[in-house]
Amino acid sequence: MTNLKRIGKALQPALAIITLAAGAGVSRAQSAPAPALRAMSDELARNFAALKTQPTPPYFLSYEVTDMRSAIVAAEFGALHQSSESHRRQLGVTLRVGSYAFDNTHTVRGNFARADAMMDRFSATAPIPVDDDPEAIRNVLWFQTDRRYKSAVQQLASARTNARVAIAAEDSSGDYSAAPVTSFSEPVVPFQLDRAVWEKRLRSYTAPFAKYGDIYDANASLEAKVETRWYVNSEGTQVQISEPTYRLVLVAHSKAADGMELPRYETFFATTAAGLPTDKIVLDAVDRMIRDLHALRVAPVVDPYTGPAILSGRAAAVFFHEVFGHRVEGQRQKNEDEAQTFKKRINQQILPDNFSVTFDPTIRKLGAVELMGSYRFDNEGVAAHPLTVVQNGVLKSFLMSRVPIEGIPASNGHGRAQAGLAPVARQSNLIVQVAHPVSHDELKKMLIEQIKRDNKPFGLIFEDIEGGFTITQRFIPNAFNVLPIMVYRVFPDGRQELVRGVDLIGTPLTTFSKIAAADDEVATFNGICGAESGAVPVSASSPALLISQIEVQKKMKSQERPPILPAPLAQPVRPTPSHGGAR
Amino acid sequence: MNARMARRAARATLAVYLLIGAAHTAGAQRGNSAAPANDVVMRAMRDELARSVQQLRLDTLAKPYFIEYRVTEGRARGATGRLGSLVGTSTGSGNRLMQVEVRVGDYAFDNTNYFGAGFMPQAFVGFGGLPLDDDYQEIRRQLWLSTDRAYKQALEALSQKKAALAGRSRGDTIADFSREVVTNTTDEVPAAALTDYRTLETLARDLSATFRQSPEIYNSTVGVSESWSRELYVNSEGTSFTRSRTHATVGASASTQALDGTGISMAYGAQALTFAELPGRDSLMKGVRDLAGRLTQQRHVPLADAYDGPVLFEGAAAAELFNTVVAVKLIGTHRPVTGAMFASLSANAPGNDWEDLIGSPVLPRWISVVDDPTIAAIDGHIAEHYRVDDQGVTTHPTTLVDHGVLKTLLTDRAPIAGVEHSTGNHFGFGVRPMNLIVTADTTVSDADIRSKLQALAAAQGHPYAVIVRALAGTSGPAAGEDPQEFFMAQAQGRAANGPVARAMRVAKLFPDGHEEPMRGAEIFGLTAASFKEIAAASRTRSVQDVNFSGGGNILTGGGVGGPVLYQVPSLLFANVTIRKPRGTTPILPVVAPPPR
Repeated sequence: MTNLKRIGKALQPALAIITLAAGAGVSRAQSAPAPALRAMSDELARNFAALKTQPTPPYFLSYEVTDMRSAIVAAEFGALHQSSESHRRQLGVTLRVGSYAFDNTHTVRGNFARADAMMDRFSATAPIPVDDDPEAIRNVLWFQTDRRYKSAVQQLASARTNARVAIAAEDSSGDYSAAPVTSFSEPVVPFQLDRAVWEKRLRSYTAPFAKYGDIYDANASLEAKVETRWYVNSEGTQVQISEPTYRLVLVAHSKAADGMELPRYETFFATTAAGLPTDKIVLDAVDRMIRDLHALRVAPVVDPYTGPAILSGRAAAVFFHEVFGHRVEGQRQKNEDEAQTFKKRINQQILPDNFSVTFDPTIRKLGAVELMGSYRFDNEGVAAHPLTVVQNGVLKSFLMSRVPIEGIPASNGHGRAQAGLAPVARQSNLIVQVAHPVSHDELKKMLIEQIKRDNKPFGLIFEDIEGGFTITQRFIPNAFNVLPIMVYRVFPDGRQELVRGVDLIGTPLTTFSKIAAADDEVATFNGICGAESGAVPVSASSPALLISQIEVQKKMKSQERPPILPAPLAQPVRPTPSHGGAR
Repeated sequence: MNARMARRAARATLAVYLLIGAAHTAGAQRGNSAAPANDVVMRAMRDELARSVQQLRLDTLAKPYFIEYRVTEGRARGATGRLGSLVGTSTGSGNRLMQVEVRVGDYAFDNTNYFGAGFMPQAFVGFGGLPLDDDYQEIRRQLWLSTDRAYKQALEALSQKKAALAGRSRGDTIADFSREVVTNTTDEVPAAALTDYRTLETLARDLSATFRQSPEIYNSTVGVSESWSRELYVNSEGTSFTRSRTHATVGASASTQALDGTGISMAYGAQALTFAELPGRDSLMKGVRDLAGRLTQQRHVPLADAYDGPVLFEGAAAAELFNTVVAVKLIGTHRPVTGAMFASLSANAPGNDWEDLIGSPVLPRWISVVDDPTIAAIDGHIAEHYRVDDQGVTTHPTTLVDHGVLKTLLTDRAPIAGVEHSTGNHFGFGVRPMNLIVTADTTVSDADIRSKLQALAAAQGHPYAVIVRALAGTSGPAAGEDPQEFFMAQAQGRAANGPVARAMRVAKLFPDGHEEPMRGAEIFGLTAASFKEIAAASRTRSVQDVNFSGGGNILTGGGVGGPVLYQVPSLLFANVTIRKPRGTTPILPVVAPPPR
């Protein structure tokens, strides 16, 4: 098992539209808890009380059941590929023995420790019956609690031994923190989607791609979902929340003559079906994707290069998510395999002094765009609230789950996980705010001045980014790699040209120190982020940034050339010529 | 009733879910009669195949000498219940998948039968989804892209294979691909409408609710499913077929811990061509109730004692033993050419030693074995059967062992020494028996075989003899067993130095005829050679669905896994070793189960 953790394969490019049942700041009426929640609460009380009489009693037990009603419709090149609906429930159990100060989850340092911890993360989950019969639900809860209890007792014994044989840990904070007891219940949102309507729409969205023989993959998918989460713990917290989301993703691929894969993505996210874009907006996006792909096929390849660049708002947002966001996740400051880039930097300047970064799961929209990283309670029953991580360039805090770190003893509502997995600190809605921004035109002028000043042949504008990954651990250099899709080369005379074939790379502290300016147009990237606790929805918003020096390296490239025979089309259409130009 | 069969049914339910997803709206809209619509699919396949055969060629490199297209489409409906509740629901539009195979070189030497760095099985290269809509243009587009990928991969594999052989001599000169008679076959069943979800869900709820009366059983599920699938096939030699089948299953599985902590599990299942033909509700309820009763009883049964002596493998256990020990020897596959990196590994990997025994005695003179993929039923049990195999080769009964002498092995179009043509046994990704029938000329009655067992035990001085009635499945961890430990043990090859099999139902038979059950018996010391010394076979033969493991591996070749129907008499062996399991067992649940 490799130790290389790939964080944030993240931010799948996609314009996603999430529909949340209530608008921003509207608090929904509290409603009666569902039968499942009652069964969970009864079984939790019974097990906790019975296990309390054991020689190694638990001090904390929680159940989270995620009820997922979802539909997926997918089409490719104008034809339907999938249309299905499902209803399932997934259980996550957290059982802790020992004490808040030292419990079974205490990091065991040394060989194999990480692999063990990883296995454990996935073994606390099980499916739960979807009927509301308490007997069937309680049977699974009981069986899984027993499994968790036995493994927790074993873990505690080996953690205690390890703590004795290993050198003292650098971070002496406890293993879990107390959290305020809460009770919250909102009505369960009914699930509705007219699949027949969407089958038709998705066929129409992907039909335009079918005219071309040089687009090898073109699909559209809609995932509509209502996720209802029930959470109970032995401290008395009970939460029932229910949130609908709709996400429409368009993906198309072409290939350059040299074999390079050329992807293009568009995603739309809303919390209501009505919040999804109109057919006209989607079809315009489709046309743009087709034009871009044809332009990319003939775009020149850029050689490795260092020099000034602009990251568009969306690109900067992904950049911040990958390069900054993952490094302020609390548990990374504690784990001694992690590089802990920012650990000792609280109250120190890490960004230009006009930059602030907040994580705010409580806002639902930024401008007209709905945000995917919004929630009322995290997966540990802690209420969401806004958190300023960087204020005027100075690092103020980290994203915290209920696992404390030195100097930050409590959760700030960022303990998040995919249904059934063990929560860790994860990002929510990341927002980069900049005081004294310049206009976008001004930013471009500044780029050209920088190109001239540095005597560079050109600079780069990263217009759109597919995603990226970053390494936060110590055993290999702490680099990041961001995967751009639409990159323009800007010459000193202001001309610009679409190029391809480069990845944006670097190390975080150096790159942050080169941020020179930002514009006043904030853009949002909605996506799914993947890390230790699975896939969670997040957003990142940022203005465009001018960076005085970036580095690009050659993109990994498929060695397979485009298809030998032409596409078997009845009437092939010639691609419309496209001119590069930043939008 | 037998556990393996039920496991198979349970697995089938799951597999159907995984593969086919769900089958609601679109299926209903498109109607359930697939025939006319599918003409579009077949036309797209034929047209793109013709174009590829005529035009596909990269520069001056070799053209393909063989191309095949296979499209599989299906719809399935199912429901899984647990203690009277549904575990999840899923409905959908069915699926349609394609598989493209391209061969370059010639029949004697081509890109297949090779394993080395960068190797990618053809089955994966040319695999992909097709639209559910009967969209001629789009189906051709997907076939075009898959053919292109498969062709390029084939060219690379051929050059690597040539490189791997450069400077080394090939162990044999057997052809890579056999020439077979061109066939055009229609082998279809009427596509009836699938049963409505409500009926399936009600049955899954009701059957699974049976376990509410069994507080000693920790985990239980009951799956009910019905499916329809159809395959369309064309190749560049002119062979084509369409085949369709329906299938309905009910499978219950339950697990718990015995009083000493060891995990125990059992299963029950039934299958039929359609949901309507499954056993009636009362009969299914009884089957599940019996399962619950047997498993509950098993908790209290004492562990096996060590024993070396005569053992009777009765009913299901005989088929399961034959499946584990002998059936894997009946598969003939070409050992692949390996790249330098794997050459020594391959040379040291044990292959199938029966490949050298064609023409030699391998079983007692009074036993014969036939595989018959053409029969529809054995003694009332539904048998999976086809007119042609997955490569379009006409199926027929194959006598594998004739009065003890090995006549041939089962093959597909990859010949082996001594078997130049396919026996028509390519199913799924490789060679598999379909319906294995073991016949004994000399048999004894059930009563006589028991007496013979007792006599042998007495002669060896044992106070009792042993009867094995069912072997344990190895498909997943039992309740209370740590899944991690289970899979570690699986990965390390439990079988290498470990037992040949683990008995699930086993009893001591005392001289006065009374029986005492045992549990957890591990069986050692039985090899294919032991079958030459079978002491007796019963007149009655049981028919059992057993999951065939496939046997081989990527370095040696070998069969592929899948269900096989067996008809085997009970078998008496004079010398078998039985041991109780070693190692630690988990403790019983700390907290009592929730009140019911």
